[in-house]
Amino acid sequence: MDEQTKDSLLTEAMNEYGDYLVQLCYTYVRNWQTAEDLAQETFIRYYNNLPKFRGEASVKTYLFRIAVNVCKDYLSSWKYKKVHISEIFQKLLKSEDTPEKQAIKHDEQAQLVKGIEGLQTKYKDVLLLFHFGEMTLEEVSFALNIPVNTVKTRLRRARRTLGIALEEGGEDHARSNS
Amino acid sequence: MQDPIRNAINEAYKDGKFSNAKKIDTRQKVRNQKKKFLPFSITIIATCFVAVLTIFLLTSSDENIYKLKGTSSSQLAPNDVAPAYMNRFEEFKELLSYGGMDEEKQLQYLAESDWLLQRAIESGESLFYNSQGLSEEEIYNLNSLLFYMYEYVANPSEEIQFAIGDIKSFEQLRVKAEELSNTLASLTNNEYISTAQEQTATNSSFLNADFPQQLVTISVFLFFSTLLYRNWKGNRNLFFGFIQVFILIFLLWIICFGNDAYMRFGHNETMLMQETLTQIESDIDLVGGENLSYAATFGNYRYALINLYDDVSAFSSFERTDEAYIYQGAQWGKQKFFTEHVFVDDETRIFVIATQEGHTASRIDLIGDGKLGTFTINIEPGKANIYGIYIPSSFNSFSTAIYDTNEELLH
Repeated sequence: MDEQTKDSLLTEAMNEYGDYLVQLCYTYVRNWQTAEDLAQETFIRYYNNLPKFRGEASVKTYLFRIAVNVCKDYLSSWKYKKVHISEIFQKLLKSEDTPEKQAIKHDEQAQLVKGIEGLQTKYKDVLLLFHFGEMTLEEVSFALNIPVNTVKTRLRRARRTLGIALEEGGEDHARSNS
Repeated sequence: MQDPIRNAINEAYKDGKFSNAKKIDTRQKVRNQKKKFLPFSITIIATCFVAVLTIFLLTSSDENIYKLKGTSSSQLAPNDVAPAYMNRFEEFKELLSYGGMDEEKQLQYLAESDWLLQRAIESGESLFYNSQGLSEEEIYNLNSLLFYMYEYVANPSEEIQFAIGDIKSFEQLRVKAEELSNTLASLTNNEYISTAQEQTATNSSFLNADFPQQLVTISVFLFFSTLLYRNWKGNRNLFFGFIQVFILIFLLWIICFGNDAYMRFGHNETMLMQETLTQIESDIDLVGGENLSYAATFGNYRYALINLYDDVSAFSSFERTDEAYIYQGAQWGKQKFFTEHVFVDDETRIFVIATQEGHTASRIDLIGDGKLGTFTINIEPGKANIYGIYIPSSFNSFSTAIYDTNEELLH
C-alpha cells in the first residue's frame, strides 16, 4: 500500500470517526485534551497497521477496537497515574462545585453519562461500543476480542449497573432538592 | 426511538471534537514517526553493543593474561611426546613382568603423574611436549590408556590376559591403545575423563549456577524483558524505558560475566600458573618472566610448581570440586623442595613432594616411627618434578629423609 493511499484513508477516517473517537476516549479518561491525544494515537496506530488491515471488520469497528486498547494502555500507564494523583489533589483543594457544574448535575442525561463514566471498564467497553458506537453484538465481540455471549452478559450487567447508578443519582438529586 | 445512551453521550459530549489542528498534527506525526523511531532503536542497539564491547575489553581472557605474565624457559622447550610415553609404558610392562606386582616399583610408578603427558597429547603442543599428527581417536585412546594403566597399578586385581610385550614402539601403541585401554578399563572401577571433559565449569556464572538459580535468573530476565517490550510498545515513558534497558544490560552482564566468571580453574598449565600468580601477587612482588616448572595430578588434587625469579619458586595446589579444580593455596620461597600431604580416603593419603630444577636429590625416604616401616622413591636429580607417594592413613607418624646421589642426607 503506497503512502498516498494510506494518507487518503487516514484523512477519511479522521473526518468520519474523529469526533466519535474523541468522545469514546473521553468516557475513559474524562479529560478532553487527553481524549483528543488518545484519538490521535488511535489514528497513528491505524495508519501504521493499514497494510495489515484486511477488511475483516469495518473501519469503524477496527478503529474502535484500537481506541479501546489505546485507552486501556493509557489508564495503566505511569503518565496517567501521575496525572490522576495530581487531579485528586486539585479536587481536594476545590471541594465546591461551580454553579455551572451544579446545573449539569441536575440534568438527567448528564447523570446517565456520569453513570456510564463510572462503570467498570469491561462493562463500559461493551456498552459504549454497542450503544454509542452502534455496533452489532458480533462487531463488539470482534472489537474486544471476546465471545458474543460474554458481550451479551456484560451488556446486561452494564445496563443493570447503570440503572442502579441512575437510581442512586436520582436519590441524590431528590435529597439535594428537599 | 433513539438510543437514550447514544443521545445522552452525544448531548453531553457535543463539544468533543477532533480538531482540524489535531488532524494536521496527526498527519505530521505519521510522516515523522519513522524518522523518530530509527534513531531510538539505533540508540538502544548501539548502547547494547557498546556495553558488550566494553565488557569484552575489560574482561581479559586467561590466555592473554598468561602471555603477558609468563614465558617458558629454555629448559622447557617442547619434546616429542612419544619417548616419554613409551618410557611410561615400559615401566608399566616391567611392573607386569613379575609374578606379583613389586611394591617398590608400584610406589615408584604411582609417584609420577601422567597429567602433563595427557595434556600434551590432548592439546597437540604444550609447554613440555608436542604430539603432532595424532587423530582424535588416537588422542582419546592413548590418554585413556595412560589413565587405566595408572588405575590398574593403583588397584591391581588380576593378571592381564594379552600380549603386552609385543608392543615395542609408539607407532604400535597408537594402533593397540584402544584394545589395551578397553581391557584395562574392564579391570578398574574409575572411568577416564579427558581434561577437556573435566572442564564443566564455564566462564559464565549462569552456567555454573544450580538449576533453581538459573530458573530465578531466567524469570527475572524475562520479567524485565516483558516490561521493556510493553513499555516500548506502549510508548509510555521513555525514562522508565531507559531504566529497564539498563537493568536488562546489567542482568546480561550478571548472567554472562558475573563475579563467578572471574573464578579461575586449574584446567590446564596456563590456568594453573595464571591463577597461582593472581593469588600470590598481593604477597610477593612479581617481576615478570615467571614460568611453569612442572604440574601434576594425583587423584582429586592438582599441583603446579612455578619458577618465579632467581631461586624463588612457588608451589600451589588445586582441589577438584564438582565442577573444576579450585585453587587451595600456595607456598613459596628459595627452597628446592616443597612438601604437602593430603588425605584421599580413610585408608590412603598422598605425600606430595615437588622438586625444583637444579636440585641434587636422588631419593626420598618416608621413615615411619616404630614399626611403621619405610616408603622409598627414587627421584631424578636436577629435574623439576612433582611426586605423589601413596601411603596408608595408618602411616601417620614419620620423618622425611632426602638423599643425594652420594647417599648423603640433604634434608
